[in-house]
Amino acid sequence: MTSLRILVPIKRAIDYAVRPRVNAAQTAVETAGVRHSMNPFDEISVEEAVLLREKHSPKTVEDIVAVSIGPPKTVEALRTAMAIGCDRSVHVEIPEKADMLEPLQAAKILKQVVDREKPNLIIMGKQSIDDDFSQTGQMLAGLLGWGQAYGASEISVDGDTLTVKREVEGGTDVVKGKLPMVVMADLRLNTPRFATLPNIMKAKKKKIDKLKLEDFKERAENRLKTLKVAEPPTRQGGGKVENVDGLISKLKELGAL
Amino acid sequence: MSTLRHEVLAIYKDLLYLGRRYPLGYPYFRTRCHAAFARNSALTDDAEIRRGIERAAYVKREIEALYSLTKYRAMKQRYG
Repeated sequence: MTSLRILVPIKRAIDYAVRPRVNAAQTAVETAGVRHSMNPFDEISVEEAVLLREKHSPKTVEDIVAVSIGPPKTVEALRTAMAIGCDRSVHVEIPEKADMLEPLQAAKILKQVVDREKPNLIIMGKQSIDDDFSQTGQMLAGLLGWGQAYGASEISVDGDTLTVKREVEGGTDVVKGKLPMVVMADLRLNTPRFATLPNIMKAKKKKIDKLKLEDFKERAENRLKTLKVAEPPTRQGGGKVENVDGLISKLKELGAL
Repeated sequence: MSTLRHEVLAIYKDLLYLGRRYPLGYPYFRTRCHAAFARNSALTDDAEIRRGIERAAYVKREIEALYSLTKYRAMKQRYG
């Protein structure tokens, strides 16, 4: 029986309840002074890692490590992950004002974190709700040469094989794979528990390894250039017509008749 | 007696922490939560206090369910 060493990459994103605003220069979405929280899909993957530990004997899951790449405040997201049940975490720090990393960059860094932590199962959210690339997991699996399961709605472990039910268009797809594997969580995998206040306080005692971006040898450059970010046009309100004649003349006016 | 006091304080703190993201705003939640606890501040019977704590725990579960449901619905609407 191989023991599981789970790595959970997470991201701190703008909270799902916040209405994003475009900044004055129209180059990005305003992030200063906006409430952030852990990406909902990542919460689901953290919960799944903890559930795997609770479902199986304690020895099955040896270690759950959360990892995040982001500005200093990302520590909050890591604390939440540890409050839910991760054992320790790794924080790859990038400067506050730096651009967000693109999926390939993130995947390359995560690969080196994997080389360091030696997990045999990676559970991550299928996408983040801020830039919605939904590529990092697949790229990471490709770089590592591991099997992957995208959009998991059920995970079961038996020895060193993993059976994952995937949500696909119009049904479910069941894939079976041998560890090591990368699993990307979908929305219906589980219901994440709430990180309670006492648990967050306890999580402060858990270890966070700090790494700098410069510590990583293999890097990629950001390849995309944002030309302009704009809000969708506001919807024009409809008008009311008095009677049938009014309706017909309106339709004629618009060229529909 | 003193252990019950701590239980009450702990659940009050938990509720306040949860209330920070209440949809109608923290002040709305805090005043109401405070009033509810103040209303029962005169309780002296252990059993009654325990019932109060249970009720607070129930409210706490309800609020957690409310949050996870709103989140799930928002995500479902956006990503299916």
